[in-house]
Amino acid sequence: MTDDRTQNIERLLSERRDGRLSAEDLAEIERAITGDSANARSAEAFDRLGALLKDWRIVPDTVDWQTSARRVSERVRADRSSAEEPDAGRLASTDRLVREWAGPMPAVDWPALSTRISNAVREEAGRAGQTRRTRWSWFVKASAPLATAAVIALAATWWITTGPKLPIDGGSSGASFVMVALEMPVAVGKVSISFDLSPVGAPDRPDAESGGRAIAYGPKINDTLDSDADAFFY
Amino acid sequence: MDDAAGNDRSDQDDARRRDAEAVSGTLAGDLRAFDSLIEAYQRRAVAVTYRLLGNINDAMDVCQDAYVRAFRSLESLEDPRKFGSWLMRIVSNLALNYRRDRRPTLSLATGDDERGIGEDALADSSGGASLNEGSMQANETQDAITAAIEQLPEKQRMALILFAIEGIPQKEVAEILECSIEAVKWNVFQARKTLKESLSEFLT
Repeated sequence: MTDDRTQNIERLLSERRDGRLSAEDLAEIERAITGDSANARSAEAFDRLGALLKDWRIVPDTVDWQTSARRVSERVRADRSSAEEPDAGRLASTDRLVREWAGPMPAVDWPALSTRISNAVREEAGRAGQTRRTRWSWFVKASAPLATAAVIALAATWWITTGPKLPIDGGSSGASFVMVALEMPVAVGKVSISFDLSPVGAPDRPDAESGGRAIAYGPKINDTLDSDADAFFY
Repeated sequence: MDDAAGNDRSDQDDARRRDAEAVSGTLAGDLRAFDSLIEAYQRRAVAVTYRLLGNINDAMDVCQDAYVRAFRSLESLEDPRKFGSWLMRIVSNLALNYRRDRRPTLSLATGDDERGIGEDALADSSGGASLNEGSMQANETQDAITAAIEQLPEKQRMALILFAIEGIPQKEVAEILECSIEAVKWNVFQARKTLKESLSEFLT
């Protein structure tokens, strides 16, 4: 028998006298008791336990329930009466205490107080105006350098990206140079390179050979080559 | 069994309807309506509290406090028909708090029903009726049961007392303990199983 079934049987045995089991459960209990003496002993033990518990700590028969109910009723009424005590009565003593603590109001020169307050307000108003001017000057002082720096940065960026290119002129001005590598250099031959320095978009000029230096890398050349076949052109 | 269960439900419905009317009357200012609620539930309240505390005077005091609290907070009762289970919840909580707060002075040698000296006669002072001093075995059994029940977890103890001992319907016990009916059944089963083991010498 599985543990679950055993526990289920035991549970049914414990509930046998509760009067709430179905006919099916009662039949299962009968089968369990009839077929197993351990179940029968367990059923008797649960029945005996139920009887002992019913006799445990029974309220004495001598308790006077009427007197008990009357006392509860009186206590409830007394509680309600105290809860309904008028607020004015309860708070009057508190008001008196507060008044005694506060004491009498001292004599006050009201016109002088009014003048003093007005002067203080006017003075404060003047300071507030100065404060506004100070605030604006601070704003100008802080923002002008920032604006100047921004303008310089923009100009530099424009110059770098769109400014005129430096001429390609050897190494005199450190200008740009173009490196050309021959994919299939030959032992002899001449490579000439020309540069068109006209601005982009301008019509092509026929004399585009405006010069420039060029370096062509080729294989190592035999020293017997003549000058027309110098390997290196510039 | 179905007829008996049906009669039980009908009786319970009638009781709840009377409770709802009494609650309404109380809220309308009629304290006699609250008196009817006192009479309807005081025996059950005192019985449960007495089983938890073991002292009849303490049980009476706790139940008085519970009724006063119930009266004060009657407006907060959402379903007036469930006044009974709501009151028993207050009673149970107060009894458990009382148990936790008091020091353990119960002497197993003298038994449960300790009465203070000079108490007025809510109970018969000449009797000591709940105890038969000549029956040492009965005392021993009572003490053993008390000790075994005290060892149970609180939920199991409450479920056992409310359902298995007081016979309060499982649905109402579930309302009192704010749990499911299955939880009530489970707690009762576990309590019974534990007591069967710990009280085995008294069950043969």
